[in-house]
Amino acid sequence: MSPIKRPSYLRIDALKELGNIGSAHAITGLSELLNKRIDVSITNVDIIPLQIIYTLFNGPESMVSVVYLEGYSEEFRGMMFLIFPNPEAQKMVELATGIEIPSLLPSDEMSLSTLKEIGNIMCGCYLNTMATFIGRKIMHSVPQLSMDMLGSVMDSILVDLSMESDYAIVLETAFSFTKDKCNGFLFFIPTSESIDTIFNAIGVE
Amino acid sequence: MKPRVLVVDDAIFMRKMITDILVGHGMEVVGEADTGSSAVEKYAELKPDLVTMDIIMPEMNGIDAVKSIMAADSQAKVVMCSALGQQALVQDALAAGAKDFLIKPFNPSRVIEVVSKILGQVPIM
Repeated sequence: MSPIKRPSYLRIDALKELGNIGSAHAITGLSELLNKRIDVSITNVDIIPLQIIYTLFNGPESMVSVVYLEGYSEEFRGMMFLIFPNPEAQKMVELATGIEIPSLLPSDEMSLSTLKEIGNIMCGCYLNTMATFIGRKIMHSVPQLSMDMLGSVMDSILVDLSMESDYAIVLETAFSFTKDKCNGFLFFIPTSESIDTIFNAIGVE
Repeated sequence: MKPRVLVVDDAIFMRKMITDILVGHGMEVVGEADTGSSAVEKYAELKPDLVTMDIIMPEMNGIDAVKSIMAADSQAKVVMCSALGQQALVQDALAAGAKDFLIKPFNPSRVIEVVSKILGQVPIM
């Protein structure tokens, strides 16, 4: 496990701005899909132990829906996670389909498909911004969805992805619907090589 | 006669959304596919007037599927539908033979405008 060196203030600031623009595009995409106003409450960039993600929710045992995919290009690789606490995930499905559902069931193919597509659009919009910044075409994997306790979902995803460190530079965005009180969190976790690619592309020493 | 469309996307939610838009504007969705390879097979079987094609899908991506469809039928009319609206990808899709590119999320009038233009029809709004 190799510790990640903390980037300079200038680099953190550049990443933050990149995160802001990427998030704005992702939120715009979601807003257009749902035809709803969405407010961004937090955008943050930091090097954190991935377990800190748990503190944003009610601990590792809280039930969540997580859509995740891998963005990749030449010398660039990063994971994207879109996390909804389960009451919010159900609300998102209802907002997108216009149909009320009694509960969110892992066997309901339409609900799962809707959440994956929301992840697909938000992550796609975010990666489009990243592609513009680094001047490369970025593709991504087919979105996957896990519905379980947050700790269990994150552990299995991180093992699957063979993330080489327990720490990562995380670009975090929290967003909410003012009227519908629905919160979600979008995380982009680039590898350390990808961070160098980004800084070389945007000319930040 | 109603234009016959094949809708290709791995998300049922998005296939339903596109189908609702097309059917609501006087078109017929004759088939759906959820992978690129299934799209190629269904195109050969159904010979639709138009295909809406996602890019990121399991088995075969949408750009490779367009190449296969165009290799079999150079007159095929395919419009890409993807959230990955990067200029390089749009160029790849057009080079593969796609007629236009719709960036998700899209509004119904934009879908109908593009589809009608490709089919050489006056859009029914």
